[in-house]
Amino acid sequence: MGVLEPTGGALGEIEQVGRVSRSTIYSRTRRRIGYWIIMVALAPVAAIMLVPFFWMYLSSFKRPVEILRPTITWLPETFYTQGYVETWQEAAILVGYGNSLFVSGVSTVLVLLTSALGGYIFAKKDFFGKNALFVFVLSTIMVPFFMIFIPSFILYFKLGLKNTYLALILPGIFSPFGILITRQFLHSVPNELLDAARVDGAGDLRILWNIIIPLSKPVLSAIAILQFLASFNDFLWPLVMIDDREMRTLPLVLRTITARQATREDQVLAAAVMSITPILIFFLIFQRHIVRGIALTGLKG
Amino acid sequence: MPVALFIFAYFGLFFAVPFAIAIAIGLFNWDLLSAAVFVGADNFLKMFKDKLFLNGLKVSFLFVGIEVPLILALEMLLAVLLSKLGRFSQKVYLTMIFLPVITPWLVVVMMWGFLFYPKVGLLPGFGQLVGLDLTSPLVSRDTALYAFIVMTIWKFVGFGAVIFLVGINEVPAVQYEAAIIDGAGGWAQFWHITLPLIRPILLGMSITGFIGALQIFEPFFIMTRGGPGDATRTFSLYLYQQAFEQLRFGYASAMALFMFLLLLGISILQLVVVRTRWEY
Repeated sequence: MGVLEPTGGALGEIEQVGRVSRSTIYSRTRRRIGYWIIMVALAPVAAIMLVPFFWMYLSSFKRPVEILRPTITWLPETFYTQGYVETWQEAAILVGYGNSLFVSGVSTVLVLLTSALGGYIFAKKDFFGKNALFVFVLSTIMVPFFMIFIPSFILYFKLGLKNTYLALILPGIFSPFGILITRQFLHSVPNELLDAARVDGAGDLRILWNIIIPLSKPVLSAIAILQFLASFNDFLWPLVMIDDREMRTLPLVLRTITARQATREDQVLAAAVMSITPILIFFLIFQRHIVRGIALTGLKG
Repeated sequence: MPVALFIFAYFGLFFAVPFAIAIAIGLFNWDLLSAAVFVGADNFLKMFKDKLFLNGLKVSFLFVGIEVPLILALEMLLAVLLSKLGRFSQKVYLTMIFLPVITPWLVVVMMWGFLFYPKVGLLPGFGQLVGLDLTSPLVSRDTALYAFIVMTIWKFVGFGAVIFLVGINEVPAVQYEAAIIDGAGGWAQFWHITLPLIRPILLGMSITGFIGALQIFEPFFIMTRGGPGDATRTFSLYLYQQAFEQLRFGYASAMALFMFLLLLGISILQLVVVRTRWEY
């Protein structure tokens, strides 16, 4: 996209002159001290990041009066679970989970397939209008969501897609980012490998399935996780597309609890905990891939 | 290739067509229920007389103007600090600062809501802990927006820090060692070695950060719906409300088009300015 191509050069000439050994020892001790200073300096940052989560988990076991008390309390006075029980019974958390998992799951699988496919044809195939199509796909990244938000709503509305799962899945079956990153990655796969497979009689689909997909596993896993999280956390699109109670995704279910006329703080907290805990566990398990995926998409974007 | 055709059809139907529709319905008044009424450039002219629209622009740009530079600086600072850590401690810190990134806005707003809302208002309580007299920022028009800035930075700072960190890690260690030998301090190292090398990332992050921040919608929609007064009625929130609460789809489309052109212009400007300033 021209924005981020490397621009080396302007580094200024740093010349190394003698007197190495003493300085190296000196800098090594200095670095060790610096290391601990940084560890300590970062501790408050980590605290700021974590404290809201701690407070939420602890407070979800507090009685409403306790939550509303203006002074800060940490540990609950009694182990109160009524908020959980009531939210579970009333709010259809499970239905929300089912819908969200279904929509995000389908969209993730589709994005994987289309990213591999798109990456493959843009990296290794030649066809009429290839460059133009690639530029077209890339340009969709640049279009802010709000630009196409209302017309998309009208389009889906007129196509009769309101209150359908299709309406939630369709926007996420292609990821321009996914195609871009897979293409970039596949440039490093030697053509000879594909030629050899072709000589052995493998067709495009076979090459895709047996060579391209296995080889691009690292990028594909990153794409999958990012797509899943984005789809799972999406709020605005489901908000305008889904009215049907039974079809609400998890964010919409959460929304109905927090936006009620008489909000019950214990229920709000319990609902938040219930909805976020699986996401946090998912993150802790796939943490490495997620961070790498962010780095990949961020750098290429 | 059928695949290419399919890709073309998909992006055509779900990006190019809405794009064209957006321009077209901007010229109409349409509530989706009755027939659309052609009004020509009326919607575009109306925008500039609409006080709430102008207010939305002001609020959005105030938000972005403070949030983006702050978060970029914090992201770079965090990335530099993290880059000096060992593998393991780096990982632990990354995990922690990344938790808010994956947390959905609804939950973020809920957690911070308990701190900020006048009703519960844990902020005064926190203030007492550190000996400050704090009141809920959401009560006052002057402070409400800052609550959102703090919240947004908290949520996204880990994201940018990771991206800058990847960039910094690619700087060869030899260059820092050479700089240390030459007596360069931390600041000089950052200014003369790190910053020039990560500036393509900085440029990309400032553009995407700018566009992303201008479009932030959920927290405003969930937390204040524009209040107190219109102090947090951002451009995107106003656009949404015009479309889905007032059913003025044509007007909202015209606003979206305006926003797009504005963003395009600003991105190009950013590119040009940064390029000319850095590449002589």
